[in-house]
Amino acid sequence: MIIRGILFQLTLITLSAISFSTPALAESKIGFIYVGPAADYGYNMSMDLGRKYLEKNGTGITTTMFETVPENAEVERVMERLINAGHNIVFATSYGYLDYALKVGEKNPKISILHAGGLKTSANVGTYWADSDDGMYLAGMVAGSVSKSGKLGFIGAFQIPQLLRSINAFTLGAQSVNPKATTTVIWTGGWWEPKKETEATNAFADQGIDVVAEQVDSPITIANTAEKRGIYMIGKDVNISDRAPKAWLTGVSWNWGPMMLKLVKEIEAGTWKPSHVFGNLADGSAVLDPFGKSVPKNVQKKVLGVKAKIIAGKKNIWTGPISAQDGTVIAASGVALTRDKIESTNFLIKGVIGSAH
Amino acid sequence: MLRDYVHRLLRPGLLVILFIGVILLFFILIGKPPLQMFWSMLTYSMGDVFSLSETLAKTTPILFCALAVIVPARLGLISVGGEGQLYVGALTGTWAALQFPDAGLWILPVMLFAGAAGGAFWGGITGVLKAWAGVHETISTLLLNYVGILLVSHLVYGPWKDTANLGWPATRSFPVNAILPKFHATQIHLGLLIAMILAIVLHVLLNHSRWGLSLKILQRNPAVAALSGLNPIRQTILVMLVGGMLAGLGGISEVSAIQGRLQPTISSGYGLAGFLVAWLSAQQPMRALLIAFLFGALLAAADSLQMFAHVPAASAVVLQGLIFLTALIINQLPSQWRIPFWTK
Repeated sequence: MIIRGILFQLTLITLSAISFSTPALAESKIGFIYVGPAADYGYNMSMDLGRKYLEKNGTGITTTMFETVPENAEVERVMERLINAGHNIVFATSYGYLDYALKVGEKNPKISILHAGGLKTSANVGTYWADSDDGMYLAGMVAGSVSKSGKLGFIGAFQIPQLLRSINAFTLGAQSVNPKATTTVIWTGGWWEPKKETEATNAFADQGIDVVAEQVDSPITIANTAEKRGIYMIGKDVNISDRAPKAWLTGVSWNWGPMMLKLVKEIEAGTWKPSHVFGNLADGSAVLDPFGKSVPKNVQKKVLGVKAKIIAGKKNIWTGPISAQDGTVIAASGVALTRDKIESTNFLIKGVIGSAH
Repeated sequence: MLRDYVHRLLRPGLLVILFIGVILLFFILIGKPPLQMFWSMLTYSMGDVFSLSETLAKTTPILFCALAVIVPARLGLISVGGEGQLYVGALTGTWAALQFPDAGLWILPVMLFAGAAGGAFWGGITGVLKAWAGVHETISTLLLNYVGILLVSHLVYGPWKDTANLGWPATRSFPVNAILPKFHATQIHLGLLIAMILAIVLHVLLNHSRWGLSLKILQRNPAVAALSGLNPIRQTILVMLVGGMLAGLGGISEVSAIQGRLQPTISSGYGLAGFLVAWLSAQQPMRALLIAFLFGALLAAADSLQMFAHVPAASAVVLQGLIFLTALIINQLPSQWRIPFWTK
C-alpha cells in the first residue's frame, strides 16, 4: 500500500514536472568565464565589454561572470556551477579552457558552449575568434616605420599558434617597410605576469629595441614601462592610448559584442551549428586602434592605404615569399598560405629572434 | 572523561562559530545581505550532491597536506613544505603514469607509490638538512616549495610538454587506467578514502603507539630521550619522510583524479590551507579531518560569491585571507586568555 502510494506520488510529480516544463520564451542566462580580472585593461576586459554589450543590446539576456578562473580542472567546476544555476550558454573565454569545455559539453548536451579560439569543436561546443593578424601586420608597418634601430621587441605568453601568428604578421608588416627589421621575442609563460613583463620591456630598452609589441592579457604594464623608458609600444586587446600618450603608436583591439550577440541569437533560434567562427578587420571584430602622436602623417596614410586594400580583399598578408627562421621556404613568392597552415602555425619567420618551441 | 569529550567537541564547534561570525561581518562590510549570502555559501558547499562532491574533492588535498604538517609537528618541527611536496609527488607520480601508457590497473598502486616516494624525497631533504646540518626546517621547506613548483613548470613547459597541445604547457593526459576511480559521477575519488584511512592510522600511531610516545619524549624532554636511547637524528628524518610522503600522495591523487594531466598550476593553495588546518587541529589527525572539510567547503563555497553577489573574484580571496588570519590569531592567543576548554 505504502509503495503504491509513493508510486502514485511520483507519477503526480512527474506529470506536474512535464506540464510545467513547456519551453519558455527565448530567454538566455549566459555565463562568462575569464582567466584574469574583468577590469584588466586587456584581453579579459575586451571579453567583458562583449558581455556588457549583450546585456545592453540583447533582449531577455542575463549574464553572470566568473573572474580569475585558472586554466585547469577548476574551470570544469565553474562551468558545471553555471549550468546547475540555469545558464544555458557559456562563454569560456581563455585558450586553455577548451579541453574542459569539450568535457563539460559532452556531459551537458543541451548547453551551448562558446570558446574563444582553438582548433577543436564538438556537438555543442563551438569557437569564436577574430583574426587580428591583419591588424598586427599594419601595426608592424607602423613599428617598422617609426623604429630608428629597426629592432623591435615582442612579449608573448605561450608558444601557441595564435601568438606565433601574431609575431609573424607583425614582423612581416615591419619588413614590408624596412626589410632589415628584426623582432626579438620574450616568452613570459603566463597570461598575467606583470613582473616579467616589466623586466622584459626594460631588457628590450637596454638592448636598443625601440618598439615593444605584446600579446599577453593586458598591455598596461608594458605601456607604463615603455612610457617611462621613452620607447614606443604597440597595444593589444583594448585601446589604452591614454595610458601611454608618448609611447603609444597604435594597437589591435577587439570588439566582441556584435559577434557574441549574433551567436546568442542563433542559439536561441536553434540555427546555431558549432563551428569555428571568425571575425576580422573587415567586419569590425578586430580593430586597428587610433595612431599615437609619434606616428608621422605619411606613415598613417600609407598604413591606412594597405588597410583599405586588406578590407577590400585585394591584399593577403600571408602571401610569399615567406621563409622560416632556419631558411625553410614556407610560401614561395606569390603563393598564399592555406587557412589550415595559418591556424596551426608552429614556426617563426626569418627576422624573428626567439624560439617557437 | 566526559569533560574531555566535551572539550574535544567544543573546540572545533567554537571555531566554526567564530568563522561564521567573520563571514557574516565580511558581507556586512561589503554591503551584501549577510544571512542570504551565508545561506548561498552553505548551499554551494553542501547543498546538493554536486556541491558536496566539490567540497570533498577540495577536502582531499587539504587533508593530505594537513597530515603532512602534523607528523613533523609531533617532533616540534614546523614544516610549511606541503605545497612543494605536493608538486613533487605529482611530478614523480605523473612520470610513472605516463611511462606505461598501456598498463593495466596495476599502474594505480605503482603511480601512488611513485608519488609518495617523490613527496617523501622532497620532505626527506629537509629532514637530512635538519638532522645533520641543523638547517631550520621552516626555512628549508619554504624554499623547497619554490623549487618543487618550478621543477614542475620546467618539465611541463619543456621536455614533458605534449606536442599535440600545440605549444600549450601540459603533459599528455593520463591513460584511463592511471586515473583514480571516482565515486559514481562525482569528483569524490579514491584519494579521499586513502586520506581518511591514513588520518585514522596516524591517529592511532601518534596517540597510542610506542612511536608516538617516543616522538613526544624527544620533543618535550631531550634529556630523558637520550637516556631512553631514542635517536633524534633518525626520527627527524623519518617524520619528514612520512610528512613528505603524505603530501606527495595528495599531489598525485589530485593530478590523476581531478586534473587528468600535469600542468603548471595543480594546487589552489592546498599547502597553505593544510598548514592552517594542522595548527587549528592542534596536531590531531581526527580533528584535522573535520577542519579540512570546513576549509574544503570554504573553497567550494567561494563560487557563490561571484554567482550571487556579483562581487569580484578578489573578494573571495579576501574572505579566505580573513579566515586564515582569524585562524592564526586564535592559535597565537596567550594561554591565559584562552577559554579554559580551549587549551590542548
